[in-house]
Amino acid sequence: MTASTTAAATVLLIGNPNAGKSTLFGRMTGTRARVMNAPGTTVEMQRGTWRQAGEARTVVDLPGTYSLVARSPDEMVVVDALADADAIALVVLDAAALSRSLYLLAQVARSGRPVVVAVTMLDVAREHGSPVDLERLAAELGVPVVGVDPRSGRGLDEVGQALGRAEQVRGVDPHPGRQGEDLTTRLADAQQLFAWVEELTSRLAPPPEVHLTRTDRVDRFLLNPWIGLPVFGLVLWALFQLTTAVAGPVIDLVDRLVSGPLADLASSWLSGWAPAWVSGLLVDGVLVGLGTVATFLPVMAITYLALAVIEDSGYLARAAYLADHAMRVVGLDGRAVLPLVLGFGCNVPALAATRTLPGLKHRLFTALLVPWTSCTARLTVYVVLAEVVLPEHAGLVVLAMYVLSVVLVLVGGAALRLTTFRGMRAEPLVLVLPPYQRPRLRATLVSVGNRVGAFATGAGKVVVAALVVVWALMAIPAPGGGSGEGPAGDSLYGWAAEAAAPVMAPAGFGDWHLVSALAGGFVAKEVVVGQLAQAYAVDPTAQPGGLVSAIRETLTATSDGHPQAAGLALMVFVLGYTPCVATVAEQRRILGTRWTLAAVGAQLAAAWLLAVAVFQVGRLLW
Amino acid sequence: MQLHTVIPGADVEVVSVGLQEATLLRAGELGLRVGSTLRVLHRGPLGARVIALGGARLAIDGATAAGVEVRLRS
Repeated sequence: MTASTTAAATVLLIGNPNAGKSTLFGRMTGTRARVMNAPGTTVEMQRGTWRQAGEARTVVDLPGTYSLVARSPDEMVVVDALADADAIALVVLDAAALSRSLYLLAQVARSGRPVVVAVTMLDVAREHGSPVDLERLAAELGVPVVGVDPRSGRGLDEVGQALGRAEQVRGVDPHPGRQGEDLTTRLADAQQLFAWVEELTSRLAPPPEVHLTRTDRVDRFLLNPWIGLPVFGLVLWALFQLTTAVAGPVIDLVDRLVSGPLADLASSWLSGWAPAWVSGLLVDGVLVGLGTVATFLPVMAITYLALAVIEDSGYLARAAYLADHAMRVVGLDGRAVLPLVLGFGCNVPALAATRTLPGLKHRLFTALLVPWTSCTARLTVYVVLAEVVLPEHAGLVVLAMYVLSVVLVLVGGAALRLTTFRGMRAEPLVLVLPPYQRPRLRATLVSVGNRVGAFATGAGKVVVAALVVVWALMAIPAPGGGSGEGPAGDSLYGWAAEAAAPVMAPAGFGDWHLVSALAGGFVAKEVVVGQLAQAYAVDPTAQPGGLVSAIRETLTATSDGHPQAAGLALMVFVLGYTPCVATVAEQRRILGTRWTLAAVGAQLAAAWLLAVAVFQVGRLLW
Repeated sequence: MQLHTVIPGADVEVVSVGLQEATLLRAGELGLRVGSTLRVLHRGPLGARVIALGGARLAIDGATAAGVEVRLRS
């Protein structure tokens, strides 16, 4: 291949996870990169422009993989990318795990793509007593081989020059289009490639001896269940605190800023010239929607940053190993423990955390279960309703909701495995434990910025659209004047709530005040108590007991004198149904529209069935 | 002997790998193949092991480790 034909070629960055590929990508593209989904999938990859020696090249950072025998969508994305006839494969070899990296290189060679090799971790390999002779390696492979340090960028200029000399790897016959072959044939091919790798490594250097490293000494404690599990508990606690206690004040600040000064400024600016409905649409619809998205940005940034640090430092793999046994009960990999625990803080970052799971099937499965982890926003509703159910044991009732949340995750997981995910079970754990390392600040911040931006634009559209619809329903007068109770009662929103109320009658709370607040809870659970107060025209801060009395009175009427059973059913419904529009928007970004609609429908159906069951059984007891 | 019974610190050679094809392939891709020499570094619950293959470290659950036949190296 000549330099002229490769001048505009896309560079595909391919390598094992933790080989330094993404750091190298960050060095190449700086901030000129964006996170995107691979075509037709929800697998994230980064694309950017590398300006080098006056030439601009497109560089794609493909998901890290150990194999091109694609068993996950991530691996399939790499295989598909290699089918691009104009691309050059820049294969990143980890010198500290050369044999494993060379196997991936051999698979890339099978695709017939021209290759340039960048070798990372040369210093680590030297420390292990197995230094890599780059000249010898280049001579054996017949392709340009460059030693690079992704953190400092050393060697990048040489990589740029080498791209014009990309060649096919010597000693491996190209054989594209193997994906259709069965596993037995692929295994036989893999054996041939293993033999090639072993022969090559034996010519390069003697087999590496095992040298105990600093990582091994740390792991002696962190992988010991007696020490490792409490430490893991502390890490989970710290993560939970970050997404709740630390993010909380920032969220409040953004919320106050948007609903206060910003809304006032927009209103006064619009009042001079815009009709009232335009002002209402822009301030109460669009601005409130943008404000809702903005309140999630700090928590998303904090979550992405914390996850990046945990993953980058090498601890995530240890956490997966420690939690693996427990998570097998749900049929999941140990890594699923992070999103499921984070969900008890906020479902939105918990969904974002599913990206740390290795396969799409497990990501889907976990993302479908996350909404049943009871986020802190639901707690505000529980606290009020628990006073209706058992005022003398309100704390116990709230605790029961958290226990039920765990049960829902377990039962929901079992139901999914019996139906949509039939046959899914936890994969055998054969997991690479990368050496501990200092997280890469620059690359991490760029990646966090890209991911938060992707959330704001992806999920933001859905949130704003949903809030504009809610505004419109609130702004349009009800046919026939409505109930006349408060602004909601006079609107199409209140009218629709009244029309929908009979659906909830079997659960004992078929009343428009409650149904309209539940509909508001679809936007955010934080607004449920406020909407209840608004519907009953009660100020909960001025009359703490007023709202509880009003709800109890309504429930007594709608449940034929079983307000406690109806109150408990209402709490269960709040736990089970759609958490908030931001969660739905994030689910859509991760799962796609079809899965999200199915999930929302399933959550509503499950919540209704559970609420009906709780009420019907409860009325026999209370 | 099977890998899940090997105590930490022991150096062993893999004699056979009796796993399902998909797991066999993945284990092989990560370096756990017949003829590989490795050292057991840590043990976890129910036979789980952390092994060293040269500079690489692998965590393996107990059921998978039970499918790997090894012999002690002198």
